[in-house]
Amino acid sequence: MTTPAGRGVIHDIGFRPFTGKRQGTGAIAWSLYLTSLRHCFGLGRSGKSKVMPWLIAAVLLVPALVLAGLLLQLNKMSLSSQADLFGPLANYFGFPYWTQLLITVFAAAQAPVLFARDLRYRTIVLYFARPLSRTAYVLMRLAALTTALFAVIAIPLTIWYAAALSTKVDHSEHTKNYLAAIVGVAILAIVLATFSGMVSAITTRSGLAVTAVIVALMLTSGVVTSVQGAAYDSHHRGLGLTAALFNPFTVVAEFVSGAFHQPTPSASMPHPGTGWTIGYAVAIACWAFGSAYLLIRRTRKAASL
Amino acid sequence: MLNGPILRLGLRSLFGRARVWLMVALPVIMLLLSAVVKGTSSGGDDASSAEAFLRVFGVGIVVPVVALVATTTLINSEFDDGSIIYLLTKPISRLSIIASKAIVVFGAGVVFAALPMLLAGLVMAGGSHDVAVAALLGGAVSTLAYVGIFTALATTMKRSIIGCLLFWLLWESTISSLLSPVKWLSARAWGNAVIQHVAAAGDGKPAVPLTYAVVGALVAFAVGIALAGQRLASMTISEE
Repeated sequence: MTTPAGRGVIHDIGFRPFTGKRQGTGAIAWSLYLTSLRHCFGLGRSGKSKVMPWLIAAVLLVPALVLAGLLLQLNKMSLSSQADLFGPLANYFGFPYWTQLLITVFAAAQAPVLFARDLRYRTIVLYFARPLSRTAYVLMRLAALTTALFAVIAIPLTIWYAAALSTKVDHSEHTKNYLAAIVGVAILAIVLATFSGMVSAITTRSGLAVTAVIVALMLTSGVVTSVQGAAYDSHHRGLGLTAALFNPFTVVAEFVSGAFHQPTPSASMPHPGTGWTIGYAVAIACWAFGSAYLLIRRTRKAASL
Repeated sequence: MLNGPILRLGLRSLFGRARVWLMVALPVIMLLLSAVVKGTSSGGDDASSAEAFLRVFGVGIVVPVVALVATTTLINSEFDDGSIIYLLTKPISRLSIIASKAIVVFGAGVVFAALPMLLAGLVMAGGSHDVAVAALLGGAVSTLAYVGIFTALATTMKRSIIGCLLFWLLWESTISSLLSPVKWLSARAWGNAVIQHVAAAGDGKPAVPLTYAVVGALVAFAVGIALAGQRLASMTISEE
């Protein structure tokens, strides 16, 4: 036992100490991000948990491939039927809007994996035994879920766009709409990730969290859609615009259509003016930052033993 | 057939929890929205827009969610946490246990979905064209069918709450709007058909005949309970 003088050692039973380079907080955060991203797709988890994410990712490809096929057929069509098809085909943000059920199920199935289980089984204290702050932990988890959601939506969109570029349709309009939709998808992924993460951190039971996220998103979506339908019938624009605030999909769709001069994904959704667009930007910030704040507060509370 | 204590227990566990607020909140939202729709409509055809609103919002959202919340509270969660065995060990026919529970769920559906639809119909259309009565009947018929389906799903599936939820979202909301033959097997289409038959407003053609819708809902209810009773009767308490 050779203990250097001047170093307080309680026990030295002769094990070799770690003398390698210790990595900093950044490396810990990056590795947490990568692990979380892998877990979103079931990589490194059981075979059963790979089914849901890959199934949804595959099903989301179907409408995009069909639309890409339609675009490739456009070259052979008469001009009048091109005009009929052109409107919906050029509106890229309609894709996440019309597949919102699948996207919701993806978020609802994966958010509890990242946010509920560690709180439930108190394994979260193990993460905080490393020099990683509570906020950084939450932000890395959120970044991973956002990346997963973005990838699942944006890859089909990009395939669709690539198909459009290889045809004789108006490339500049497609590029403009595609970029607008990609910005919208990024915003949507952030809002969905924070919201579903917040719900799963509050419920902590995995099954309950899945149900709660699906109910919260689809119920508000159904309510908003039917209110907008009623407002459209009675020509009451303000009611339809106000209703859109209460669901992530509609609020982002309205923001994209207002900020980038896009058509709205559904005929009953009114097109917002400048004032409303700013209002929607504020509402999106409320959805994202409000949820993130609650999520961080919940995680801090759970981690303070 | 029905069992008094089970009915009482069911009522108590249904109203003694926080989830009851989700069941109360939806009809309240529907009534508020119907008042807003009434207030903003510019004269015109009140009865027809009221009928459309009741079909989309009432039968489309309120009825399934209320039935879902009540079924999950009374049936799914007792299966999931295993507390159903305290009922199964009592000397009561298992079919009558599940039938009593299903009746409580149906009662909750009538009180929290069908009656508010009647009120919303009265608010929006008054007494004209029997819209309010049609809403009550349509709500009750589609609640009946939903309760049967959810009861059967709740006792036969693992992770049954998500199963019921996906049944509503995928089958009733998505697939039935894409494939028209599904209307013959959809609780939502039956409720809508009853509203369209009874109310003399609106211009849509009912998807299925009135008798078929009512008989279909009754059959769905009875078959759902029979299946669930069968499943319960063949359940063993001991661990394998």
